[in-house]
Amino acid sequence: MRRLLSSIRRTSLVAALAGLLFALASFHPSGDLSAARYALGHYDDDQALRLARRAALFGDDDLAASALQVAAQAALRSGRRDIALRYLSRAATLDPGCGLCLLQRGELLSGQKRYQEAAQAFEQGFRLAPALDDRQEARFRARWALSLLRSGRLKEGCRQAARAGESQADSPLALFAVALCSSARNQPQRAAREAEKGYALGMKAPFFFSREREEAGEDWLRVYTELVSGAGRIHRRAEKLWQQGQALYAAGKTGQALTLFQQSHDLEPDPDKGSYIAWLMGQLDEQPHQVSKPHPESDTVQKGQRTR
Amino acid sequence: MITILVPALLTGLMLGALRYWIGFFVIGHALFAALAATWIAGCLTRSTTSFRPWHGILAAVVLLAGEAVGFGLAQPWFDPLGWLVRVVSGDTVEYLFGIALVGGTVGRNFQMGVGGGFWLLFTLIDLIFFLLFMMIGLNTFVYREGE
Repeated sequence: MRRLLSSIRRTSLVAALAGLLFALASFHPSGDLSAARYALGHYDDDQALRLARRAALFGDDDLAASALQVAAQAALRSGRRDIALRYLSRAATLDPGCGLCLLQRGELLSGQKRYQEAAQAFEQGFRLAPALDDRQEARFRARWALSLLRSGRLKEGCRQAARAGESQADSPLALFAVALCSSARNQPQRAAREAEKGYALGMKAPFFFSREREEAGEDWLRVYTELVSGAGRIHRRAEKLWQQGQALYAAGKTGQALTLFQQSHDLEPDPDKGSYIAWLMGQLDEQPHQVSKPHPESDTVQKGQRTR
Repeated sequence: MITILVPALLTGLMLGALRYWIGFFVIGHALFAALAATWIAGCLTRSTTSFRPWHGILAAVVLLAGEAVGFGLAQPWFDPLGWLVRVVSGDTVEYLFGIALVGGTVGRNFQMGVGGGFWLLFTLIDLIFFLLFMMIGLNTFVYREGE
């Protein structure tokens, strides 16, 4: 019996070790990298991370750098910017000629508000990176510009912002970079104009103002508000909307007028405007077709004057 | 008791790491996990007579918990339960030996691994064999050795 048990032990141990060795020997780093890319393309971040890390572990330096870039993308999509940054740093160390690794690293550093390191990474990255497409170039240059501007290097920052705008004229990020540059150069009207363009494009771009996907998503809204309100544009826009509302009201289009009054109130909240809108809505509910006209003296904003 | 639980935990940790890096070998995993844990326990408790059947169940639970921890430690960030939820809901897959190697429709569908209901099915099959091998292991390596 004891002999049988010891033979079972030996056989189990040998079988387990053989299985382990077989499994380890069957790793194909290049195959793993292809599979990782496939998984990443199919939104399976867990598998992409596992396969890319395995490829990085068993592949040579170049392959490991590519695998780590895939792993960084998967980590980024899973919301782990710290891990993504670690992978990109390792990729840049393994393949010092990988300009794209440096640019992506710079982007993450910029998102973490480590602007000086980010600017350095962008500078090296653009020196090494192969030809980028216009969108990528605009994105990285805009981030570089923002990093430079925020680390106090105004002249270089403005130059990069302008180049970002040249690469892609409809990039909201590039427009915000130009707007911040103009603001730093004490040109509030131009800053507000560029910020407005950036805001309009950002509203169309998916996730641009989302904190989940973009590190500074919400910050851009704040920048927009600061720049635009600084130039008095919000006030003028609100007034214009209110006047248009009054014109529509005078023409008997009360519903449309009410919409414009509300838009004006949303842009520039005012308690008087709010109470007037509330009163008008009440009137509409009571007598949809017999709402009296606004006070004749209300030339611009009907502050607190209810037309009874 | 500790002499049983510690090796069970260590075996679980190792299995979890292997499962993350290599993949899941249905039944093979059960065979290795159950026999390894009971064999190591048997080696360590040869001279004791205080071992009871429920200790075996506890050892199995500790081993499976250890496996989850080992899997989590192998991940880039510790998230074994999150992964479990994702694999059960079909958001990710686990590489399964055998299934991934066959050809035809099955091979094409499960090349990258298995998730969702199929994963649960294979895990259940593995669990049943795990309990079976655990009983065999306890009977072979622990009781017989102590007697």
